[in-house]
Amino acid sequence: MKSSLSIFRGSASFLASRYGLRIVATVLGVLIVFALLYPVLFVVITSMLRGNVIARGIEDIYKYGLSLEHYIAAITDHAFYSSLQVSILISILTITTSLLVITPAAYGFSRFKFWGRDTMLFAYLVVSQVGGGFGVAAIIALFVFLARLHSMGIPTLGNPFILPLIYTANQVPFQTWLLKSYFDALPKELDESSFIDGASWSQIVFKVVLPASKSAMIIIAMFAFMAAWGEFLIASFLKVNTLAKYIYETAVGPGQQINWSDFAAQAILFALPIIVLYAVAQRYIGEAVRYGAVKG
Amino acid sequence: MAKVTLIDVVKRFGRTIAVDHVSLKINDGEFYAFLGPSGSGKTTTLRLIAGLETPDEGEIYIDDRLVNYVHPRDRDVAMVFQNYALYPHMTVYDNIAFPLMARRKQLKLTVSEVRNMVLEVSRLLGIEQLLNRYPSQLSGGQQQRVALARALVRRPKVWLLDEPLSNLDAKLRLSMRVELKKMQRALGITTIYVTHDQVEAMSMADRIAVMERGRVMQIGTPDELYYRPSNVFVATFIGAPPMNLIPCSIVEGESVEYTVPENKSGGIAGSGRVKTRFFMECPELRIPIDPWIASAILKESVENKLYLGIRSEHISILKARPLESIGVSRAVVEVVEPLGSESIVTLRLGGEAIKVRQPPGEKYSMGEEVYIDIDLRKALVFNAINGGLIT
Repeated sequence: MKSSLSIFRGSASFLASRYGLRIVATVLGVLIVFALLYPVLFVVITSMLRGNVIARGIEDIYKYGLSLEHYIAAITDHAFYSSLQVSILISILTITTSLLVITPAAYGFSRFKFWGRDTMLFAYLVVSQVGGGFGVAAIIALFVFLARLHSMGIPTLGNPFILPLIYTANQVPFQTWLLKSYFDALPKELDESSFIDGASWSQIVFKVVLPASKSAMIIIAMFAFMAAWGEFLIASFLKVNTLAKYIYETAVGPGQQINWSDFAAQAILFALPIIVLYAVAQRYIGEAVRYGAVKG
Repeated sequence: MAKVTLIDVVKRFGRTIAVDHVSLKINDGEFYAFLGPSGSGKTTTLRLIAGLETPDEGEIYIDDRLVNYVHPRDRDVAMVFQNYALYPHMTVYDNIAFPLMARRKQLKLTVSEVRNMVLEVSRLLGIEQLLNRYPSQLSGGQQQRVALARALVRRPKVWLLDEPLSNLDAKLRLSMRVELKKMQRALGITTIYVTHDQVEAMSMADRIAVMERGRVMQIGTPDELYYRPSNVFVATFIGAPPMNLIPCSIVEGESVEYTVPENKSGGIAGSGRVKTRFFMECPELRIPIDPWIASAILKESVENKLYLGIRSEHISILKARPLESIGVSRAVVEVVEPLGSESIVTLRLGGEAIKVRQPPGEKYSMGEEVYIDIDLRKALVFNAINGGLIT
């Protein structure tokens, strides 16, 4: 009797400690989210203030008053639409070329042994991990190269079709690794089984391998989209009017004066697709993280 | 239905030789097992027959047709993989229908014909209520059935099974064993079954090829492998506990004359009235042997290093010394493992540990001195140098 009571008491204290832990974790989580979103809150407030001012505190809401005028101004601007179209075009092209280039490469790396395979994979790994100064040097070299081509009569500057190729090249090393490790985890027996069952190569690839790796494909497409959508530096160098470039140019007015509220409203509009994408593709991102994806 | 023939097949991976001059003849409708430890080349041999690997040397025939370089899909074989290899994005129905749909045009099937074939095979395997589910929603046993159904739906000539039961739990494995055998009999389909589990092979197969390090060690029916293993490897690989191998040699001594009792005649001791100078000298054990057999053994084994092989059920334990003493020795009880229907008693015979299968009931204590009586008719003699069976 006594022992059973003590077990009961023990389990009660165990429950209590578990409950307490959960409360602590929840509070901590809320604090972290708050700290992360606090600047975002200021951006939202700034975007909704009347006049072009930067919000310095919550009390500015009473001082200036709230309105959607900056949003309306943004979406009624023709230049906004034309740059939006360019950005969408570039994003779609980047997604398509990324999938077309990365998928066969990753499948080949995963399933076949060929001369130079390991060396190439290692090179991919090195290239995907080198950043910082090397990346800047690469961009400068790229710009010089493209400017030379332009002066030789090949239209590279201001040409939106150049950007998807550059963005895809940037995606290749890391995403090939990601998709390769995904294919590695997909049993080879799947291919072999369909091989014996009489499927042709195209059936194996399009009916078995690709559908079975749908979530990896979605991740690749998403990364490609984000790389294309959010990129500003190269697009600006090459004088392609993407949405990011448009926002930069309208926000920074003549004389380096910054229209803060316009800038904030446009930035939020600009971020919306990515936020929606993250929300929709959340479970695929989880899966990608399991395969060691998602760059830091 | 088909027969499968392998002639001197060799497969190398780099410098390792995975399949080493394997020759087999699998009959039409036979249930044939490749049995061996891991790395013995049994799965590679199966993959060679399936066409997933091409042989470096030798010839593979399916029904008198040379298939060395024939594409897997044109061999009319179906394979079940150890991990089932179900397509994760397809329902059970689509999985089973895949082999038919993949070449529906070639087979000239209508969608409703495919449907009927899928329903028929899923009824056979008792999975017709699962057809709308996805593989991830099935238990291991159900996934296994789907994999079997997918391999059967095409009515292939040869059914290849690569350790299909090893991912199931012990209880399910037992029932699937019976079911697989029943199904194979009912369909009369030539079946090649790869396993490392000797009980599985023994209980299901008509014939078994025991493999080790890429070579076929012996081909035979389960009984042949069990009672007349052609070498030490098969003797110790088949049967649980494995065959006892007692190191012995033949010695010449003073001539004796003895009568072999009725229940021991016909073995190495000879039969009837025997006069001999030869003895099998083992630890704690000296068995007079027939001079003809002795000279035959010595001819086979010049080094005179032998193993006396005896199955655990062919030794009996006696508490008191029996009257006649041929094949009888003293031994000490080391461990007793009661298994319910029987007990496995480990005894020490000189420096050797031997295992004896005993009916339950008799109690032995550790360290107890007993007598063992070897059934010499069942005893085998192996060459200890090359492992081959002598008599």
